[in-house]
Amino acid sequence: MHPKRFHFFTLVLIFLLSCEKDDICIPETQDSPKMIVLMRSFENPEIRKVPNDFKIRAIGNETPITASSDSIVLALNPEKEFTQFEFITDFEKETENIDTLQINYRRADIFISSACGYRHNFIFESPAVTQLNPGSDWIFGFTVLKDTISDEQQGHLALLH
Amino acid sequence: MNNKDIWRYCISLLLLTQTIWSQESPPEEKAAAAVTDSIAPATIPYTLRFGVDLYRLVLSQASPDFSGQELVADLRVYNNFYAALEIGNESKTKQYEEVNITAKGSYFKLGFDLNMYENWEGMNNQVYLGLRYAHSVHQQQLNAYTILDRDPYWPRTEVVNNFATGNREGLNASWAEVVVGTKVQVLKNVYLGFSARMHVLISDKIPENFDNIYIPGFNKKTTDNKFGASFNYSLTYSIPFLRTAKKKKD
Repeated sequence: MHPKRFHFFTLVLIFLLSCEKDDICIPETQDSPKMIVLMRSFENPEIRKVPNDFKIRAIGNETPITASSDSIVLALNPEKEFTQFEFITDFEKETENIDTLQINYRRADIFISSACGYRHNFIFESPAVTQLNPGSDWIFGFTVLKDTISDEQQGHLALLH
Repeated sequence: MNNKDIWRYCISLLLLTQTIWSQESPPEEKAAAAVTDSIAPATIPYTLRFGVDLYRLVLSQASPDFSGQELVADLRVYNNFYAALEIGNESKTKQYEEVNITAKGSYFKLGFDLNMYENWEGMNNQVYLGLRYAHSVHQQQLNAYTILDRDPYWPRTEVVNNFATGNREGLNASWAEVVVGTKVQVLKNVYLGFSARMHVLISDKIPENFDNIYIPGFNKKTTDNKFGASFNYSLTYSIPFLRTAKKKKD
């Protein structure tokens, strides 16, 4: 092998070796999922039922939550094993009714890649939902549709009212 | 580019100029060799060379996040054909994008080198191509990581020593290497060498809920999970230990 060609080749190789490539986390990568709650009729759990003047507040977080349809996206607090929400019907009316529900779960972190890190998964405890202010409830029951929250492809919890 | 990279360039350039110097040889030597040719045919010693990788030695002292060593050896078995072996261990702590890891383990690389360089009489330098089969036994420890959450509702924290962190032991990896290198005779039995390597991963045992981010001997596993690269600077000492001399009777 001709020495000059070899030296050039080696220099190119040294250059390539000294640069450590950084992997990128592409925007399409699925991130930590939020819980999807479906509002259903207690008499017939197959039927969707949007509550009147519906509003949801998370206890401990002022950021407003959109609750416009029967399907609601709620973020669970990864630092705790429960998150409490106020489910309000007939908001700011005389018949306003607030049910304070606590969602109980375990957190598991799942590896994505070194570029993306990890994402949260949540696994419902038993019971998944506890009523914190029982008496004159407007939400009568719940059904766990998927016991592990690993994506946002489907509803995880149905609240029956 | 950081300071470490600048040092690598300078040292590599110095080594290359060494190679150029070593090619100089007075023309009288060549003529003298031609005259004595008919009397004594070449003796082919088996030569064992062994030594250390200087880069890892220096880096262990210079960097608090790295400790390791690599021993290198080669055995000249025939003409320009050398059997080669590298053995090493490494312990490296590094932040790779969103994860902070400590990888520890040992490896060996076994193969051969073919010298492509035609030496002038009395010189013994090499420019070689080689192949290796390599295997490592290692562990990956996840120290800290961040959570991917593009629209966080609750305050985000980095996870340290909790949940998925911890040590994954009993891992291994196998790969093949293509080596390009040079060894330059600096003293009678002392050689300085540089080699650059491309790795192709054959198989690896992947830890649970994690990955082999860094494999000792292979370096960082890339996203395509197959290729890697490394290099070494070696200082070796040679011992000819068996001479098969063919002498013609006059």
